[in-house]
Amino acid sequence: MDEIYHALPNWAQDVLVTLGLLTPLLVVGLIVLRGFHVGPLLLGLLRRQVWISAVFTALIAVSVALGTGLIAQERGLRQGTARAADKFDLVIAAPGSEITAMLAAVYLQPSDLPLLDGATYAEIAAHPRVSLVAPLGFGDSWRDAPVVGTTAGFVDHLSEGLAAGRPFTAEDEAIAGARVALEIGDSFAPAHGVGDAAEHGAHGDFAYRVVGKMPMTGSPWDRALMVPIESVWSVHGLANGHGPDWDGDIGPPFSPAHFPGTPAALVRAESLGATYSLQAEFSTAQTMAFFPGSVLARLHALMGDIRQVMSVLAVITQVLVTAGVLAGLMMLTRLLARRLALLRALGAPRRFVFALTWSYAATLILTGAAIGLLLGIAASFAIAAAITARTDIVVAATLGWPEIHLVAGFVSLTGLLALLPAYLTMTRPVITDLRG
Amino acid sequence: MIRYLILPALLLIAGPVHAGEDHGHAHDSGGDTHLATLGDIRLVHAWTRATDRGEALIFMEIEHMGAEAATLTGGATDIADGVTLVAFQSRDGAAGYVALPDLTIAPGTEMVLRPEGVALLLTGLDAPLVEDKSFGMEVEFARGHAEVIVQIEAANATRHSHAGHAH
Repeated sequence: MDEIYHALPNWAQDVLVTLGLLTPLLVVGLIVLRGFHVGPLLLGLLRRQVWISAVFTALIAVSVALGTGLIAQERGLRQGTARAADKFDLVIAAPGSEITAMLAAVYLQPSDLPLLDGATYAEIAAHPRVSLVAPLGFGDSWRDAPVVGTTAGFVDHLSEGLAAGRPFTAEDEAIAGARVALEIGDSFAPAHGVGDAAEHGAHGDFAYRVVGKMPMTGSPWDRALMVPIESVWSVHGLANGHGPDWDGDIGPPFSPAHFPGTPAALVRAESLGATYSLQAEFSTAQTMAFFPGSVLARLHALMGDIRQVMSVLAVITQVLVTAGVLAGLMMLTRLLARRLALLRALGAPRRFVFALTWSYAATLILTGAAIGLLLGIAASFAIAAAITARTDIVVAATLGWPEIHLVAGFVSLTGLLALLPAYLTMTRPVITDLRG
Repeated sequence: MIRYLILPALLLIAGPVHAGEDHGHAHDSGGDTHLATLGDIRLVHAWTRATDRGEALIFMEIEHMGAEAATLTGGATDIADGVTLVAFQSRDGAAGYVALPDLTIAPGTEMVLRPEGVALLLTGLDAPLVEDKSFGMEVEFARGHAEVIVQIEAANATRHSHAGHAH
């Protein structure tokens, strides 16, 4: 049985899980409603108590929307951060924290990293299985945009072709990320440092001219300015990576003796297997090689536990709200006690009153859950837009099967809880209720 | 007395012979179940996670002390239908393991097979893998194979329970 289940495609497994979660509600519904046609009376009850029904439904809908929206958001953020790291196959840095180096190299978070020296960089660049290696030099900025020193090859790798303009070919040329408020032909002067502590004018009159614009990548690099690594070294008073016999063309090869150092190097290998081989080769006392995707996956695995806690908390919140609604429903049925007792006096069996009350509660729960799912989609888009604006990581949050499973479980659980007020209504004394 | 001197001497002589062998077999690891060797390749702390699914990933540390590159190609075990060399890959927000034809291990390096990295994937497991048990499997290289004992750790383990111990 287990083998058959695992042999099914993912969507079929998800449908089966959803049906499995809904089964208790369906079974209870069939048993409770068996032999009765409660529709007309149920509609009458809903019409008569339209405002109370609307408020109860809204409460359930909001709690479902919050729960599903937050969980969808967590998944969207996880996928968005992983997508942003797609282009960073292997990062080699000086030994230290992989997470700090990843945050600096992939997400452009300001960090103080030790430098790889020229000999090490040359060893990486000369490796026969390396197809691309590029230095990544951080530390300067323009307004809120980090200025990153690198090579034209890296820009081409990251952008898969510029949206406009051409690659930089001189030290004073730059490529702007898609979300940088600079267009081709604009000039800017880099500040030393990032944020409030940035020193404007620290690099004298030096200015870059934008010659190319990147397409959107859905990563923090959309708000970055990429410049030749030579210029970053030069404006800091260092050698520019080339020896006395330099022909003036920027970019590799660099002279190890004139290479001032780089905080990180992006490396691409000829194949996935070669990338893992390189990681092993450059995990030494002098170098730290890591896959940003693997580091993220380990972080996400930790977040997986948080996600489970979030799911449980979401269900608890929803159940608590529904318990409140059901408590309100019990008070409502007390108000309706005389009408329900009249039904009994007219010959309706006790089980019919039970079925009517339960179906009323189940209708509120199902309607609230359905509206909550729709609201959850809207909430996901709103939160995703806010996160994207703050982090530059494109978060595409849409409701998926995990949220549907969550709602299906919630509907079944609260549908069973609704048996309680229905039972209490059924056992009320008819004569007393008739007397009012 | 002479016997005690001859035995280590024979072992010293035997070492380089095995190191140079192609298509060889694992050395005797002196009863250490956490260590297997194939010439100058040491395989340490093979482990997997307890599971009742039909698949399991095998991890270990492979130390290559030789002078020429070694090529890891896969493995074999009696308890599974197949063993595939796989590597973790994240693309377009989705992460998973993809098959690798082989993996080159450069001389003097340590290749760590670990979660979210390279691993050997067992498919078609005959029975659930139970925590604290172990099983044997062959790890295949282009030059031969080594017999390792795979320790079954907890279902949510992230490392061998003896990781960090020297062997």
